[in-house]
Amino acid sequence: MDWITAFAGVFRPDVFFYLVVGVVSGAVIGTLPGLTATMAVAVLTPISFWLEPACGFAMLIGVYNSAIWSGGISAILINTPGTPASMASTFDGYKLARKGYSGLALNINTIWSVTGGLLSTICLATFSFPLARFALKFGPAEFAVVALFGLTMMVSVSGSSPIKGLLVGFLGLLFSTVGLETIHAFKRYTFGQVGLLDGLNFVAVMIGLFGIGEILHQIYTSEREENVIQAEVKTKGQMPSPKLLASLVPQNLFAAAISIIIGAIPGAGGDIASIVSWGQAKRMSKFPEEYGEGSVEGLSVTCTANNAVIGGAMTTMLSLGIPGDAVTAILIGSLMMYGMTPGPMLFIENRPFVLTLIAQMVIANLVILVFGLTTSKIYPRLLAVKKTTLWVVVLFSCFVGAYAINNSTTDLIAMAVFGIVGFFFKMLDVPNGPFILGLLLGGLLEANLRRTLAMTMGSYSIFFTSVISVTLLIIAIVSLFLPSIISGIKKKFRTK
Amino acid sequence: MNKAGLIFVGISIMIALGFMIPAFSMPGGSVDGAPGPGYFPIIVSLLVIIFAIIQGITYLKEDVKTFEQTETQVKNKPTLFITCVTILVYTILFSIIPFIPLTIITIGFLNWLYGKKWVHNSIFSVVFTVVVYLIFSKFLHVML
Repeated sequence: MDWITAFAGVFRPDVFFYLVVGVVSGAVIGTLPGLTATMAVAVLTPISFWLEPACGFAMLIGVYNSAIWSGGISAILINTPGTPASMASTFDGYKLARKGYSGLALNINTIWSVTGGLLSTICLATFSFPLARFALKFGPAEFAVVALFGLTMMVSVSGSSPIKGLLVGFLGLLFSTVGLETIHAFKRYTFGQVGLLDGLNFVAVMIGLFGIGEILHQIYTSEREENVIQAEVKTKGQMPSPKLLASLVPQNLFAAAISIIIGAIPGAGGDIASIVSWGQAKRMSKFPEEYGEGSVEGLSVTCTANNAVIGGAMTTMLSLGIPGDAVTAILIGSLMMYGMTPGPMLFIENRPFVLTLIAQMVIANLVILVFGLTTSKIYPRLLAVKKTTLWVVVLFSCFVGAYAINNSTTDLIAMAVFGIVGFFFKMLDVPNGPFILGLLLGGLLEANLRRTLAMTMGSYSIFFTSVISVTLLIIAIVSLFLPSIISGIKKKFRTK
Repeated sequence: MNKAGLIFVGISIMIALGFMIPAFSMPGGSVDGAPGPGYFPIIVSLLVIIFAIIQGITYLKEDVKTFEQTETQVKNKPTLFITCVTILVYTILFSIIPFIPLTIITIGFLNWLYGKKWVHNSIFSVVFTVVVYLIFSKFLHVML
């Protein structure tokens, strides 16, 4: 009965309208190279605050799923991924388009992205409730370790240098201490500014780092003479046959399973999932030589993988309060702005909302299916929009979006400053993700750490006696150092 | 030696010290063992300093120039700088000058900077600003 109510709620005219608005906006932003799903959700989040939670989240869920799917469109048509998650879709998608099968490639992208999204939503519906029930056993010590675990997992997959990731992650933690602290309501680092009492606004910082930072980087590195991108889509007779689709089921089920697990790991996103799935499918394929040369099978697994990550990331986000990727980190911020804290208590206090969210994921994917299969012809026109026009549109969307969060110029200043910081991070190859995660998890980590120490009269022993916290600590430490150890071993073998 | 990297490390250490020093003068912990408000910033600042030093050593050993600019980047540098200044000026003037004139002028200026023709520029600046104003101010009730 609860599920029927949840699904019926999505078809309320206002909720469905915002869901469709989200899908269309996500399709536009995801298709345009340089505008990522993270940026799309970050820019639209402030708008969602002005709507009721069901409408606001319908829009964000629509944008999230749609932007990841549509990232594959430019990967297929112009060999440039619209979002990092679609990087692997260029391997076979572009080659298929060059062979004259652009319509087929776009339809494969839509059908398997939606399949991946739906499969991962089923996992979200199945596993998030038991995981949340398990997390109810967590006390402050376990939650402090979970926050630390989330941070280290993000760091471990944030690029070539875990040290750089850790440094930025700790800087994020440091900035999370600005404002009133949670236990004694003591003012820290506010410099007498009322606007800083609530701390640095997470969404404003995020819009700056991912939106303004990206645009500044494009301004600095792009060729001034614009080449309008020419792409063509042939749609006649390019709908994949049921036989072809049926032949792709086993590989795609496997890709979905891998990607859901990868998605659930904090920090590991669609880019990693699709590359891993593509490599694995190639190893298992009867025709591995076709991979990278325009294989329909190769393209389908990368598309499934992209969207299958979403359900995994949402599972960790909703049940533990730990973001699976940058987008779910923003969604945590959005939930908090609505007065809901992601984690096990969300499933008790706001169970109907969790069900609505899952129902929105299902319907968003179905809307994408219909929208994607009927709009293939318009994407070449969309790709012809000039970069400079996009820069201005995104810059001012960021400005108004950041201001709209609280009608506050403090947020606007924070966004502008962190936008410039984001540009330097990009130039120095410093990952943004750990900074955002540190900023987000800082409050959770500090509050639970201090509560634990108050409970134990200042003793740290509880962290090493609770089975859950010891297990998470071990995984966190292993995940932190494993990439460096593996690359060290590889280097040694290479030199031998 | 990676000079740009070392500057980043230096700034990180300065930020950490900026958080750490005031934290020492914050109230101490309570009798039940709960640490005071300065406890967390001090620990995290220490971690930032430690990892900044480690990263700094890596940058010292590196034989890379991070900011070795390509021809395109050299050409785009003034545009980037002017855009950054425009962003900061727009942010400062946002609460002083009404949204519509400020935004039309700023968009017009940026479009001119990016080489747009004046006809396109004028139409785009006005239409985009008015659309944004109507959506946010009238529809979403944001106080622009």
